Amino acid sequence: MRRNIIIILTFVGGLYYFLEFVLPGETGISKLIVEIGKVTLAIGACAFLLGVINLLRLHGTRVVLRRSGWHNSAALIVALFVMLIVHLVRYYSHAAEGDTVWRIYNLLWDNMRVPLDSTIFSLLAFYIVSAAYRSFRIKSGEAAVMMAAAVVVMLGQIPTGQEVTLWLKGYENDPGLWWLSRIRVDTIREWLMQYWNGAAQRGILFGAAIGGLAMSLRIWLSLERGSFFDRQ
Amino acid sequence: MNGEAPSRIAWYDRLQKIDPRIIYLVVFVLVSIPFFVPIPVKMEVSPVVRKLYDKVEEIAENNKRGPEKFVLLAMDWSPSVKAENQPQTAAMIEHLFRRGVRFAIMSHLLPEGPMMAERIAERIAKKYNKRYGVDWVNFGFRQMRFADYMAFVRDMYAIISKDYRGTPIRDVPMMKNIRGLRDFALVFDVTGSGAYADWVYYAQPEAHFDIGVGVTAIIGPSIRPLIDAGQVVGMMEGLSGAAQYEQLLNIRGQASRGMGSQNLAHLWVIIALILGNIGYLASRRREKKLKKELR
Repeated sequence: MRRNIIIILTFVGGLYYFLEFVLPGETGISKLIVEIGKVTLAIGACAFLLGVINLLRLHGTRVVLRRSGWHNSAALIVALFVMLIVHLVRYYSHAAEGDTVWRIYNLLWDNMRVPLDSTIFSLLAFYIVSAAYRSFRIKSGEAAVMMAAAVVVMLGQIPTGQEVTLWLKGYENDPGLWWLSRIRVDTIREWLMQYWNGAAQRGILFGAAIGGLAMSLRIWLSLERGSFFDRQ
Repeated sequence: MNGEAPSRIAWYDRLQKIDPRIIYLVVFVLVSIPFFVPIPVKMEVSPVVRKLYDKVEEIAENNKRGPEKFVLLAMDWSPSVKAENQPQTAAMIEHLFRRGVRFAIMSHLLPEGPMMAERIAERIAKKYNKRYGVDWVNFGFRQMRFADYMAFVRDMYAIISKDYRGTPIRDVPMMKNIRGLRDFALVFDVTGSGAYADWVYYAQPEAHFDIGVGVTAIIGPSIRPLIDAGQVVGMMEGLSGAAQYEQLLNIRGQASRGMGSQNLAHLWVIIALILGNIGYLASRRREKKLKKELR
């Protein structure tokens, strides 16, 4: 019974949005779109709460049973609640900037969350240089072409790289040598990115779209074997 | 001492096996130098950046003649991509304030985005003497995916009832001139993810606004087909794109200052690649020579 209700709801929901999207202009069913939109927004908000509950269950169990790394889980739970409480107090007390709650909030956000997040992401710069150095070897003709393209693209987006061929811009209005102005590092980079990369990206996009269409059809018609139906 | 001569590592092997710690140290030093010695940055403006700039100029000019149009800043970024997305946001807000184009801030993906953008807008607003609620508004975070956009396009006020500061949205003075999403001429999505795609695929076909993007350098390549198709009018690609936009605005902001570090870091990547490959090619040549001798 439960299975059939889910199958019917999924099909009707999919059919509604399909018709709404493909039928031209405003139709009779268009009036419902805002109300249905509100419902999906509420469902989305509930997913946040489920996420928090799931997180607390997982890490709470680890702390209670003192499993390995439990102190990391404890730090996560404390951080979650401290940030939540400080934010709610700041918001609902209508505290003025400079008040204690604002100062605590700024300490947590500006001086902890933002730098920590940025720092972790910035570490990528170090790893990318090291990984490129260790793995990028000209072992074939294709690798040589890729290397050349990579160097041109990198040079084309930094001032020093652009400077190397910028003098060619002077030939832009020369009737005989205008073409020299087109073989600058920055213009070649733009050409590589817009046409060669663009064509490859479009191919990937088409492939992903066809895959997405097939997957959507399977979900819409409840042909997909997911964890829910497997347990029935 | 056991009397054995220490084994010598050939120069070409050394070039292929530089200690990662040395590579990290050089990156650190090179990225730090511009903080102490500012490096002047002058760049050629890419056509995709120019198109975005021209679009904002066009909106400002059209606003003088016809009905006023607004810009929606979709701030789908978090602190992790601050280095690239923050200067892009700042450059766009600077341009909008300067040209008197009123705008709204929101995010459908990350709660942090509108919060970070609010601070940037507040900072730049002081320079141009602009006021919250009159010259700009912050819708805050609204969790929206896929089909939710269709509801958002049809009735914006059904989805957004209060602004970021808790004021009922219809009480915000600027909103008196906004009937719905169709009053926005441009959506500028700043993101380090594929968040722009929802605007392109779900909202644009209904609302007919133009879309511009400010994305991290790694996302940039995936935007190119959309620019080619006219679905995206222009973009700021990474820190470099933001620096080019600052150049068009004739300001030296965070992006222009950061480009000094990126400039040196990129040069180091190229040098490291060349060194590694010189070592690799030399060792291969040596191997071939040895094989020939053995025959």
